[in-house]
Amino acid sequence: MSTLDQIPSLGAGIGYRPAFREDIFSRSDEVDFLELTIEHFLEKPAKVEEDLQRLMNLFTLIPHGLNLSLGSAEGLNEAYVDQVAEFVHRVNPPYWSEHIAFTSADGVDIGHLAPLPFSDEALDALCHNVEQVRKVIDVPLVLENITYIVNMPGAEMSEAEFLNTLLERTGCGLLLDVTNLHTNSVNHGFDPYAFLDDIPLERVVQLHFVGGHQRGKVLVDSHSSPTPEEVWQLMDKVVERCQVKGIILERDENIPPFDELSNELARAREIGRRHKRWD
Amino acid sequence: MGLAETQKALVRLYTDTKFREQFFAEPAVVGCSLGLDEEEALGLASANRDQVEFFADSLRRKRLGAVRSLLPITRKAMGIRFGDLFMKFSEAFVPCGIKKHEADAVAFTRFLNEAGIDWEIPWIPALAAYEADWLEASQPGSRWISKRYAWPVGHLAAAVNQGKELGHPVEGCYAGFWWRLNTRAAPGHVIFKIPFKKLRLLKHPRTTEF
Repeated sequence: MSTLDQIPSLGAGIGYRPAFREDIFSRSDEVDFLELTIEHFLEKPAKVEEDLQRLMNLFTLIPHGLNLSLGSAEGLNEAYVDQVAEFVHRVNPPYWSEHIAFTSADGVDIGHLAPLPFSDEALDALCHNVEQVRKVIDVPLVLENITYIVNMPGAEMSEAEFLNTLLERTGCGLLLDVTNLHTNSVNHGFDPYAFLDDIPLERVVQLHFVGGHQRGKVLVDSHSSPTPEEVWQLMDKVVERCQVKGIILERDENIPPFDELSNELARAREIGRRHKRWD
Repeated sequence: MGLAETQKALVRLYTDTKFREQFFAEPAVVGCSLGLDEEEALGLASANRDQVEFFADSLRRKRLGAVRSLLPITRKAMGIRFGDLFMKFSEAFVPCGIKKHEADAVAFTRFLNEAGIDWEIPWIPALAAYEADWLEASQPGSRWISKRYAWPVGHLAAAVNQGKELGHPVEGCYAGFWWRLNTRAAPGHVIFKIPFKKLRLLKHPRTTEF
């Protein structure tokens, strides 16, 4: 049994945002678990620290990193890795997650997830950095696919081949963001269901879902709208085919009344139940 | 040379409008200045320019969203001009670190005060500075801050926030103080008018630390 198999089923949860803090505390029975953006809890005021303690008492928490820049060929910021490690160990989760991306180079932090070329050199950089992180964080790491606007030159393989090799070499789980997969399939014209046939579905641990918005000809992954029907259908297919442990709604903008978010969680939870992923 | 140099070029392409224009005009020359050989530079330049521009614009919009939420009163007072001026500001500044959004917000308020902008409402830069000072005072390590303003920013902030009538604000000399007895406490704050004009060290101070 691998470490990924030992991760318990978690159900349907949500990415914690201060905008619905009160609802999270008062309606905790409507949320199975929470994902915490690590950067939102580092070097923050005492009130945030107090909230973290309350959240730890109420929920299983999954730390989710945005800024480690695992794809940086120049290596990692060791001081920042130590801060992340301290947070992850404090939360004591069954796993934690980061992105298959780079966010900084040469001291410039672009503030978002940028794609890597699907090349051997990028794979080497990722695998090396994951190995470095593992030396200080002994909790299973789950890696997330990102959306990309720019088709990076220098690709030597497909995204699916890249994912296969990365997960095989690192032994990491996959956080499959079904909205990102849908968004990329729309913007770059491929079949998301065929993509599923080509990736190691046995490594999928968790899903992300939400809705974005259209800007010109581009579908933007803005986490700003209700989940579209195409994503629900894709999620259903993924949950049918994978031993998914948990599903997280990632809403960041245009945050609606909590009832709407809770309804989306209920629908995701039901998909998991129908496919016998949890009770 | 390789991926590390390519990523150095990419972060500049994504965050620096002038660099982007120069690179796509002369990729080999500009790429060389970043350690790329000609083949690497031309390879990078084969990226779809529209996609790069779209992504760069998306990054700045994302920053705008974060700064809007950190400066809600300034945003309310400025209306649509907030976004327009932020997009101009963000062409030449890139924040970094864990507190990059806070750093972005503070730098933007400095830009509003120092960029020679023609203001129809003259107290907006002072209001922006006041809101940025609140951000600074709310940071975990902050214990004591004192600032000086040329407008009654406390009154203005409350009025804008509550959508109340602003009246006719008058320029003057105002002192603001923030303090915390310990790092876990919320900051205390007081702001008052200084009655002695001789204490006005600057003609139009944005804010002055005592």
